[in-house]
Amino acid sequence: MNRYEGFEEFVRARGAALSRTAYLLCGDHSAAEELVQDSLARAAGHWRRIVNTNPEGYVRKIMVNQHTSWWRRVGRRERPYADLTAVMEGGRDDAQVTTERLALVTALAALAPKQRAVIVMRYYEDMSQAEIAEVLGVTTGTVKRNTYDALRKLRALLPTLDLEPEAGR
Amino acid sequence: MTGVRDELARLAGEALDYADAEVAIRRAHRRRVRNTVASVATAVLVAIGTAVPVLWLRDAGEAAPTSEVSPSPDSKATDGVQLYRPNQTIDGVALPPGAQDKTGEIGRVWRTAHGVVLMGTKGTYFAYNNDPIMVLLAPAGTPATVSADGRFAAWVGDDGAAWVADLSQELVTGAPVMALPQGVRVQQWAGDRLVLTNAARARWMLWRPGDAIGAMWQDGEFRTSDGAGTMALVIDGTGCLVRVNLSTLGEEEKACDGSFTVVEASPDLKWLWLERNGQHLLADGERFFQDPVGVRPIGAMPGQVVWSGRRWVMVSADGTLLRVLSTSGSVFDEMDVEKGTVLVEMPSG
Repeated sequence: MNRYEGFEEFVRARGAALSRTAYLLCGDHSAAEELVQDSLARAAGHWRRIVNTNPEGYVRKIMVNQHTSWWRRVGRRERPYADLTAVMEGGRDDAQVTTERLALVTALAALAPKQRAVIVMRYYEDMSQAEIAEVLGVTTGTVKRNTYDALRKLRALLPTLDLEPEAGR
Repeated sequence: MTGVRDELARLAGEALDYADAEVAIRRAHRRRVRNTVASVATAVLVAIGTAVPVLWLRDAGEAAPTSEVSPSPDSKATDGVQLYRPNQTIDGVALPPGAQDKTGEIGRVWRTAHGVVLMGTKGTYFAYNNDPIMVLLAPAGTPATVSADGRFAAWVGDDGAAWVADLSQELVTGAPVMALPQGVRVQQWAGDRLVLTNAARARWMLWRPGDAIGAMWQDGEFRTSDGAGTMALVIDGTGCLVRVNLSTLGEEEKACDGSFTVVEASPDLKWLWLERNGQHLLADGERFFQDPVGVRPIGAMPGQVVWSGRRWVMVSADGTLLRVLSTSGSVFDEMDVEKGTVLVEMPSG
């Protein structure tokens, strides 16, 4: 039996979804591509073991933790792409969408990686706090704390963004 | 601004599909091979330490390197890059029989509209698309340069003159344009102008073939320019790397934190492959001048390097190993290639 049997089909089916999550975590195409491919390579190495469990969850878990780990090594030098105030004030009506998108990218870049991860998992992946805690390998209390801190920072940076109150599910 | 869910969904919609199963499997395979080598090495050390007389390495079982994955140089990782492999076609161009004897060992290959330019140890030749004819452009020992759009080639002839060939013509021939002062060489095209350098006197100038060569020399060591010829990177007299606007010839930005030299740059100068004290580094060309410390070391890396449009692709000096690096410097893909393989430089724009 080919040790990678079913892997290509999995990547074909779920690669695009994993790419979207990676892009939200990283904020740029090059880093997102690296994150996806590195995580897929790790998953391929353990494919026989994970193929009958939840391979997508496994890859997501690697992605989130790899991203946090990268940030520890090199990300402290990361800077937001632009001054947020300048981005918001410089926007014109006909470029409103682009301006808001840039503002969101900049605001997400200002979050710590675990804060960014909880925002992406909570509001994009629609995962519960328990599921997020499992992926990050932390308690639900830590997830709540990270979510609270992330939302507070996003509110300060993007006052016009409609942030739902945390229901705590 | 709308809700955070909508905004995130909109942003996620900008993502590309970065997933490539073939590359992931190859990376996993390499990782297994490395781990196997490491564990076998550990086993040998343990065996030696405990004086075990016989090592049974034959049955390495599951962890042994296998040939389940046959690396293919045609994977997505090398999109945007063509390879010259000895005795094979180049991007659909079949070289005539005996081409290798004529050119000698090939060091650089450029793709153009009507054929390929082959710079070998015995001279620079032009091979037409699907035609048994190869034309000698520049004799041995006079390195040629091809413009970023693949339209022109230039070199200094044996007669000391600058020669130019218009590669967009049906019949490609070179012609002497201007006798050059002693010690001056043709460095590269910058748009439709040529950069002339005088290394001994550390100066350079832009010259449009056909114009008189004036006294417009600029101080510094010219490194490279963007494909359009609007911006250049130059090492100034104090060792700083400077971005020079080629319209005004004014300095735009400067990095003086270490003696960087430019090995290669993307055609828009957005991505830089640098070298400092034998150490190779990658940098974001737009952020580098604000934060030269933010470059990413990738170790020593001899060989040929080209920018594929998304990643760095390099071939080792002996042309046997092809490596694809992401802009952050991690090895995105790696494969063995036929000895003598050269990266083909493709026209931009």
